[in-house]
Amino acid sequence: MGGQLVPQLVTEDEQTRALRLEVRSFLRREAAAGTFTPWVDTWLTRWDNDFTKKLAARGWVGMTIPTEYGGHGRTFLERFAVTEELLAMGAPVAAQWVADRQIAPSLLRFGTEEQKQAFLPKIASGDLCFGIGMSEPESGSDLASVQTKGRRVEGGWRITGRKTWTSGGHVADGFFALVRTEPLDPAHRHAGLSQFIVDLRADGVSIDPIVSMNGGHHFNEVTLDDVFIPDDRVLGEPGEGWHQVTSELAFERSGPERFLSTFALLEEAFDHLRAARTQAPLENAPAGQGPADSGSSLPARAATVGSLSSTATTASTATTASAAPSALPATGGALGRHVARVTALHHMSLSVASSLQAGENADTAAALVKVLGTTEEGDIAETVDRLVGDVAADNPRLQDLVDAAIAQRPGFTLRGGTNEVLRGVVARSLGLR
Amino acid sequence: MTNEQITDAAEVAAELRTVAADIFTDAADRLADTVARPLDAQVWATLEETGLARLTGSEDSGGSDAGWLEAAAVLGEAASAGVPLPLLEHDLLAGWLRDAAGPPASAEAPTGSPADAAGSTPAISTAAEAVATGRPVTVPWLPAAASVVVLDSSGERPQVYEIAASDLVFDERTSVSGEPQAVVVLPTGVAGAVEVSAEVADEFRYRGALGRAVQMAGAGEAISQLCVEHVTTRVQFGRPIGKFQAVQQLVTDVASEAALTRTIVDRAVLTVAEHGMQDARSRFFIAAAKACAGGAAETIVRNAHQIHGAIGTTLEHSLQRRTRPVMGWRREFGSTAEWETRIEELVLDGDADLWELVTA
Repeated sequence: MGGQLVPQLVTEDEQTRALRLEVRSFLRREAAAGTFTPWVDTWLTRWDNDFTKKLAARGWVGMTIPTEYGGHGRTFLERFAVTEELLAMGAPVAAQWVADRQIAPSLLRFGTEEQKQAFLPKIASGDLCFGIGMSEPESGSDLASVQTKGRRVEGGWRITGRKTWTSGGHVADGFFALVRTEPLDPAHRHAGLSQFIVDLRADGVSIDPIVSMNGGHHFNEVTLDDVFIPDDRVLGEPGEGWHQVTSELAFERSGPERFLSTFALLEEAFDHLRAARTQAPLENAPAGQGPADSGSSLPARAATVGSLSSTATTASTATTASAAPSALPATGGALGRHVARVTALHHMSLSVASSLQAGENADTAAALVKVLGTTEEGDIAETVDRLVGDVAADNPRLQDLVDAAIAQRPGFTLRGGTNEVLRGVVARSLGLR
Repeated sequence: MTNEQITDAAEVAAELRTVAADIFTDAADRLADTVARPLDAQVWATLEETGLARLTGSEDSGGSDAGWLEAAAVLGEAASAGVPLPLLEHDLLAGWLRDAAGPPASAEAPTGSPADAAGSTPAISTAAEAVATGRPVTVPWLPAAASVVVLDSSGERPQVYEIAASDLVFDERTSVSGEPQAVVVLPTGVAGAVEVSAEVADEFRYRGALGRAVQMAGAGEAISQLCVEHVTTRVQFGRPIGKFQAVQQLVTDVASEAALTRTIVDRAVLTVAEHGMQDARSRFFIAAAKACAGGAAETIVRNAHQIHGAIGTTLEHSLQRRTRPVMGWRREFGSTAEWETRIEELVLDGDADLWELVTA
């Protein structure tokens, strides 16, 4: 198996498994109690400070931050299990997302002792929320072309420019801004960039909403007008910005948010299917449509799907039963296909997390997970829409979830590096470029 | 199995993979590129000598007492090298079914006898399920086999018997992969057949599906490598075609789908090694592996041929040694859609909910 693109398969240890189940039962209780409504793409679109603090109180935010900085000294694999549970359940996690995923690890790796003391405990307690300040109107995939400039002044820097696509910028406390602090040298485009820790409430910072096509407000444009940044709010050393932003990319790209953004919709689609089968058998389904009649050797139970009427299952609680549609086309296995691939992605992402925990380079595998995963989570939205069609009258919650997923879908394969750029990363590792 | 036993088995599997790769590379060099891809008796004899032909049998019955980790290593290497062999059929299905039934499984036919020194056809068994009386079924490798171990699930209780290939009248065919197969009506309700449990009957189908998924994973990775080799050496417009972004996107999608398949197949094999075939987790992962491999095959085969251009569609090009088998295997032991549907049934009817299954 030499030369494999994906690291060795791993099995979660029992301790992590127990943690996973603890989080799962907590989330089910919370959802049942109405603390939150499971939703899609919650790490971008569902910001809930109270819920984040609730998770923090249980030690599930800033998990990998060492205890001396107010964290919990847990492993990346433990964090992986917790974030997977949060995303699969569709819990509102946007408030902690950026701080937990990349700000805290960056501070730990590059920050000064004073910066760690100042920020990490508050991240772990859920009191401090961060955004990202990398992209600009003229810098998308080509990040080294950022034009926001920093100039040296007495005791610090003055930075001016425009940052865009800052998720939650209107509710976050701060962001890391990638800034050009030395003139662009075309021969060394990655040199002369620095990261600043910016207080989004500081003088000279203005934040304007970027409204998504469905009216959602998650993104912002942040204008920096001669904003003063004291020396002690430079992350690490000036000029190290490129190294800093690229060193955490594997974490950013391979995580479960790259394939679970629509998992709540997949769950809901199965609930709908279950209810439809119980409540309203599909009439006139042609006999012999089932795979068993094709002479296959599959178990009889598998043979019932061609016609949804064949098997009476115990109805789950009647959440959608009263609204069951009169007929639903056979899935043709389309939902099962997604389940199979999401399962594979879960294991792929887990092996990348394990590899990163061991300090190995997993950039290629991470890019691979992101390309496959973001395509898959988007395809789930398409599949459910294709199957259920206009379902607003029968099952308004399902319709709302489909609508949200369809609207969010284009972003899945754009954010964090477009899939085209990421395929380039994979192609490079294959020796093509 | 304990963790220690798993670790040992994984080490043995890694060694076997190296041994098998050597054998199959030699065999691949000898292979003629023909539409029909018959058994290479020489390589089979080597596999018999080295014990690789009957890895998972008990030592009493002439096997090597190996498990799925070891068997999958060899099966995957054969597929990767593009050497057509009835390893799944002979060892993991027929051999297992014969052992599962226990003596006397053989109603009216000989059990396999080792190849004699004169080099006559080595005794190969294949396996098949008779799901209904009088209904013809496709039996892989039957034209090359001495006997068929039959799972007769047509009656109330599943039975197993073994029958000599010479006692069957069958229509010989060449599968889309080039491997020999036959359409045959297998006898049912045979006197002397041994009753087996429903679990055995069920396991037969899962074993077949897992074996095919393992083969598809091996071939998929080999196809991915062929694609990389081709685009880095084939020059058009003054440069290797791999320098074109459009071509890079095709190649990376092949590599991605092959990697996805590899991951879920490895997961299924390891889970079977750890917890056995009857375990619910094993069942789910096998279903996911076969479904995933079948779906991935669509992208892998389509893109690989697009990448290779016209020469890749010819009999003389080695690409067809991998793409044709993948197309043959994906339809066997349950189509892609059947397994996708089976997964839906597991979600809808099972005790575990969707997320519990995914993270089982």
